[in-house]
Amino acid sequence: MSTPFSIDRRSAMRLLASIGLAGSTRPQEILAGISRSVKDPGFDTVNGFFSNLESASYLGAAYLRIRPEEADFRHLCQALGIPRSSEGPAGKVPGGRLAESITQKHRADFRNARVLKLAGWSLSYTELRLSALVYLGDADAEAESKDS
Amino acid sequence: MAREFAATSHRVALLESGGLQWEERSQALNEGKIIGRPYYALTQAWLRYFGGTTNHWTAYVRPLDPIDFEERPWVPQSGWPITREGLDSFYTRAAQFLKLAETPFDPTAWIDAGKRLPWEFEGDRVKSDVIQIVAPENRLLGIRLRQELEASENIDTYLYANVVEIVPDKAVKEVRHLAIATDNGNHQVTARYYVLAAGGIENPRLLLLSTSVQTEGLGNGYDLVGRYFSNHIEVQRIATFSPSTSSADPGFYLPREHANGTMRGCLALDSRSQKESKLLNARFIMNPHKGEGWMSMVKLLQGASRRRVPEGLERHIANVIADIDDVAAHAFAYVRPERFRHRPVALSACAEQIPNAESRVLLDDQERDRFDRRRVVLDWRFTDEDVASIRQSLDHLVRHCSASGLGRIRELVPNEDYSAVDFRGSYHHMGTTRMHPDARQGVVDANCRVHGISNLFVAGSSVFPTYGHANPTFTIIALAMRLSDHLRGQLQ
Repeated sequence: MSTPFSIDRRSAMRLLASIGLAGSTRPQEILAGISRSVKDPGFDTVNGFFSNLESASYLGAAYLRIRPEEADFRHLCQALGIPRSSEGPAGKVPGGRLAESITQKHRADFRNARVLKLAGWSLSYTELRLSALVYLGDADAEAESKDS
Repeated sequence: MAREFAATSHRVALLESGGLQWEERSQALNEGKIIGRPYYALTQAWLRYFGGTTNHWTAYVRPLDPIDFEERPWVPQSGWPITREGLDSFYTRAAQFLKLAETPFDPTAWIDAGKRLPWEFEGDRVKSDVIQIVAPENRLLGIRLRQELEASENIDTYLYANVVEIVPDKAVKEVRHLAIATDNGNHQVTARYYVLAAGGIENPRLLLLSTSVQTEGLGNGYDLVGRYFSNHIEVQRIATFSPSTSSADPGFYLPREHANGTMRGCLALDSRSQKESKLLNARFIMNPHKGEGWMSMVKLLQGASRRRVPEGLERHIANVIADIDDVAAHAFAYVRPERFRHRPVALSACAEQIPNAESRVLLDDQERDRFDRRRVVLDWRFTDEDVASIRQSLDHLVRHCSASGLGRIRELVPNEDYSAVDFRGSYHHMGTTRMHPDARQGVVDANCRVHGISNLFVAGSSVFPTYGHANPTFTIIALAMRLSDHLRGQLQ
C-alpha cells in the first residue's frame, strides 16, 4: 500500500534548494521531456520517460532527501503500479503498456491537482517518484560496479 | 450611431469635443488626477478627436461570452438585464459593419488545411477563443466614415463642440438642452433625444458636472454615477508554455493572416470551470517568447560566427547566466527539433474584475479645465480576490495543459508573490454608468436610458455591468446599433 503523498512547503523549498545545488542541471531539461502524449511512440522502461536522465537522477536524489521513507525501489514501483523486474533497476523495467499507464497516472495527477510547484514548474507526484526510481537505479548500478 | 440614421427623416447632430486630428489642446481636457491603482496618463487614455478612441485601438474584436451576461452568485453585482442571445443579431450587424469574416468567432473557420489547429483539451475544460483583428482600412472609423457623414444631408457634425453640462427640466424628467463651450463662445443644443457617447471616464464626468438642477449630478440620485469603474487587469508574461507534442503547435494562437482575415486565438476556461471554481472570466494570450537570456545568446553566437566581439559583451554574458533557463529551453528546442518543433511561448493574462463600487471616477474639488469645469479624478481599485482569480485560472490552465499531454507551463511570478506583480490596466473604461433595471443598482436601464430621464441615453462601455475578457469595442458597437434601433422605434 503506498504511503499518503504530501509535501509541505518547507520540504518543497528544500527540494528546490537541492536541485539548485546540483551543478548546472536545472529542472527545465527534465520537464521539457516529461509530458509525453500517449500517442507518441512511447517508452517501455522507466528511464525512457525522461529526456535527460542525469537531470532526472538529480531530481530524484533531491526528492528522496526530503522523503527518505520512499527510498525503496519496491515501494516506489508498487506506488507507481510498475512491475518490479527481477533483472533490476528502472532502466530495465519491462512492459509495453508501461508508457500508457505511467502517462495516465502523470496526467491524472494534474487533473486532480496532485502536483508540487517548484520554481514556477508544476511536477506531478508520479514524475517525482519516477525520478527517484532513476536515481535509485543509478545508485544500484554504481554499487554493482564497485562490487565487481 | 449617427450613421445608423443616415438617409432617414431624422436630423442628427454629432458633437465632437476635438477636431479631425490629435491635438494637445483637446487632449489636455482629459487631464486629471489618479489616486487609486497606478494608471496611464489620462491625456493618453482616450482620444478627443473625430473617430474617438478607434484612432488608437488594437482592433481586437470578440463578443462577450454568454456567462458574462449571467448572474453569477460568486460575482457580486453580476448579471446584465439583457442576454447574449438578445444581442446576437447586433453582433452580426457589428461584424458586417467591421467587415469581419462570415463566422468570425468559430475556431473551425480559421483552420488551414489541418495545420495550426486549436488545441484539444481533456473534457473541453479549456476553450480556444477567436479574436479577430479588424483590417486597417476598416478600423479607423473617423477616417472611414468621414466622407459618408460629410455627404449626409441629415447628419451634421460639429467639431470642437464641448458639452459642459446636460441641463434638465426642473423636475429632472427630461433633458432641455446641452450647454456647449467652444473657444469662440458658448452655445446650446436642443433635441428630442440625447445620447452620451464620450467614453467610460467622460460619460460619468459629464453627468457629475450637470448639477444646475440635480445638485448631486444628473442621474445620480443613488450615488452610482462614476462608480464601478473597471478595467481589464493584464499581466504580461505571466508564464511560458513549452510544448511536448507536435499537436501543441501554438500557430492557432499567434496573430496571423488567413483567407478569412486576420486573427489570433486565446485560451480561456469554459463556463463549467468558471462556475465550479468560482472564477472570473480571463484569457491567456500567447506570443513568441524571447527572453533576454536567449536574445543575448544569439548575439554571442552571431559574434562568434563572425569572429567579432559583440557590443555589450559583459551584459550579454550576464543575461545568459541570469536567464539560463530560457537559454536552455531554446537550445533544447534546437537540439531535439523533431520533438519540440516550437519554442516556448510566453503567456499573458487579461481578466475581468469583480464590480467594485469603490473604484470610481470623481470630480476634482480644485482643478478645473479651460472651460472652468472640474477635472476628473480616477480612483481605480481592484482586490485580492481579483488577483486570486487570475492565479487560480492559471493553475487550471497549467493542470489542463499537462493533463491533456500538450506541454508544460512555467509560471514566471517570482516566489508566487503576486503582490509584486506589475498589474497593468488597459484602455478599457467600463462600468461607470452601469446597466440595471433597478435605479438603485444602475444608472441606465436595459435600453441604456438614464433612469428617470425620458430622453437621455448612454452609449459605450460605461453601461457594462460586468466585463468578460473580450475587448469592449465590439460590444460597444453592437449596443450602439441596438440603441439606434430603439431610438428609431421611439421616433416613429
